Amino acid sequence: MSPTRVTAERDVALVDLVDRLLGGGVVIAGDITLSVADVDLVYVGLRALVSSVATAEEKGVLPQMGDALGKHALDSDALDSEAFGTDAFGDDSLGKSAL
Amino acid sequence: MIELYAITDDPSPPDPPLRAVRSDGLTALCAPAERRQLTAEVLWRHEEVVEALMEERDLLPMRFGTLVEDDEAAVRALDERREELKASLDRVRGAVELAVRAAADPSSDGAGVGLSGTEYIRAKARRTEAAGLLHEPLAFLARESVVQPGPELLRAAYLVDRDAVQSFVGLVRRLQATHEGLHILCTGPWPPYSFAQP
Repeated sequence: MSPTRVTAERDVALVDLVDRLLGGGVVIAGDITLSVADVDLVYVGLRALVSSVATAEEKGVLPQMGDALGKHALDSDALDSEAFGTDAFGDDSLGKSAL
Repeated sequence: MIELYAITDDPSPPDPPLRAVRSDGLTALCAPAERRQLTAEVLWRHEEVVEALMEERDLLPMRFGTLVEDDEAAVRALDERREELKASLDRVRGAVELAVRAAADPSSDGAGVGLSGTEYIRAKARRTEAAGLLHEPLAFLARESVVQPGPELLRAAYLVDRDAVQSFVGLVRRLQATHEGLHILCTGPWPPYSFAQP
């Protein structure tokens, strides 16, 4: 994913991002201190999950797709359901200068 | 505490604030760990760091949130898994990961409510078959592939040679054109997250 991609594309790719960063990669057992109870939890709050390479907007399917897939999202008190909403963007302590 | 971003056997140094912790041919690319909330933006920033590293070298991405106490612990992490890591690096060398998800278009026939049981089963069978018809040619173009659990008809990761990415994307577009009842999403190139473990 290029850093220059627009937010809409990032929203659509967020599932792939979460799958990979929290479910893939090299694992060093016991060293992960970030507590993520269940990868599925972070799906909460997602709206547009699936698009088409032939531009979903053009076909007007994004809202339906989001609703349909939203039913699979797990609810949980452990994670703020808004944590992955657009409101949360920028609300973190890892500033650009840090990396 | 330091955060590990990736493991590589490429000797070139990363740009600050990332640095290399080396042990006998293997390198952990790391940076000081920061306290932060888990937000989409934090995940994207992490991803950008790993992608920038990936542009210059072959690597194995670490799972997000891999923190170790100090350089010695990072060296231990490399040494304890040396053979495994070297084998995984050989596995992904020269390749990137592409993600594909395919879902049924809710406006296509059979996707709506009010279907009889038989109609529903037939529609579902058609889509299951379609998912297989997508995966097979994509997997053929890829070095390796893995189908992953998910609510869609198909959720899969493909390990694709760097110089075959355009061909792969072209194939996705052709498959989309010939499967009107499906919506196919292809994202990437990603670091080889789904192929980093033996």
